Amino acid sequence: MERDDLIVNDSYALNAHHSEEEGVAIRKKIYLVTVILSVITAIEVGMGVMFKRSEAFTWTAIKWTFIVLTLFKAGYIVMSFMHLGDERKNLRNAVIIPYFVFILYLIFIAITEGLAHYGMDQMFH
Amino acid sequence: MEMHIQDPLTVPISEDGGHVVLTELGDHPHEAHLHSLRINKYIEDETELEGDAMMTLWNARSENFSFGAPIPGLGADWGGINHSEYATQQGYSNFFFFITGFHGFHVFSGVIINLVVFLMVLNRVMERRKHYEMVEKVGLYWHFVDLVWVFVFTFFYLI
Repeated sequence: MERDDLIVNDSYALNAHHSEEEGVAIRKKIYLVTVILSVITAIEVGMGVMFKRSEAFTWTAIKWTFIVLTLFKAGYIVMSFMHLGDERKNLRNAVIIPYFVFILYLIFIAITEGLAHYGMDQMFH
Repeated sequence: MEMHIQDPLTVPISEDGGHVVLTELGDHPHEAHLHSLRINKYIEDETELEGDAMMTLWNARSENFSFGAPIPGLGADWGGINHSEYATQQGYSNFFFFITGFHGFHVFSGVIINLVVFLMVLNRVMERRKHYEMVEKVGLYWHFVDLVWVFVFTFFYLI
């Protein structure tokens, strides 16, 4: 089927030509994001190798570092690879804010129920 | 259910006498008995268990499949999550293989779809359609799988 909506006005159509400089800038951005994500992953793996799991606060701090770095990486993937960053601000917020609220809810429910299970287990022994 | 610990280094796993030897008790030995959630961290190499002890361990684990029904040969205990420490461990491996299994399936199909779209581009299908939207859609799917992996990696492998 002929999709003239895509052919006329879309940047993915064949007649959407980028200039040479624009092409250079786009490729440069792809490499930059790849390097950023690789460096973050390398840091995470390095920390995982260096530090031992324990009940101590150090490990808790490291866990939260992992979580923050992961959210940072996820943000980069969504904004850059999935092109959400190219959208208007309102659409971007409409996608991201519900997710953010839902993730907070998920974390709350996971911690609450996890502790409840833990407490039950202690109670019945 | 009350647990009777005769020896601080052993924990009975069922009423007919099986014991599992603990190798590490941490800073507060008495807590090892209470915090049975953590017990699977401290179990000695299971291949060391033989005969009755091994069968007891096997039964204690199998019990979790019974969803509350008593299992013949295990006494009057109700099945399901009661005194068995392996409930948690079982739940964890179910969860782990559920998540990684589905992710593996997504990766597999993603590779196939990427390959298909690559062959389509090579065959100039997009030129005939006059737009590259399918490449963009497949890219979006692949980055969704990537996004899932970022979280699976952190929460199952790093933490």
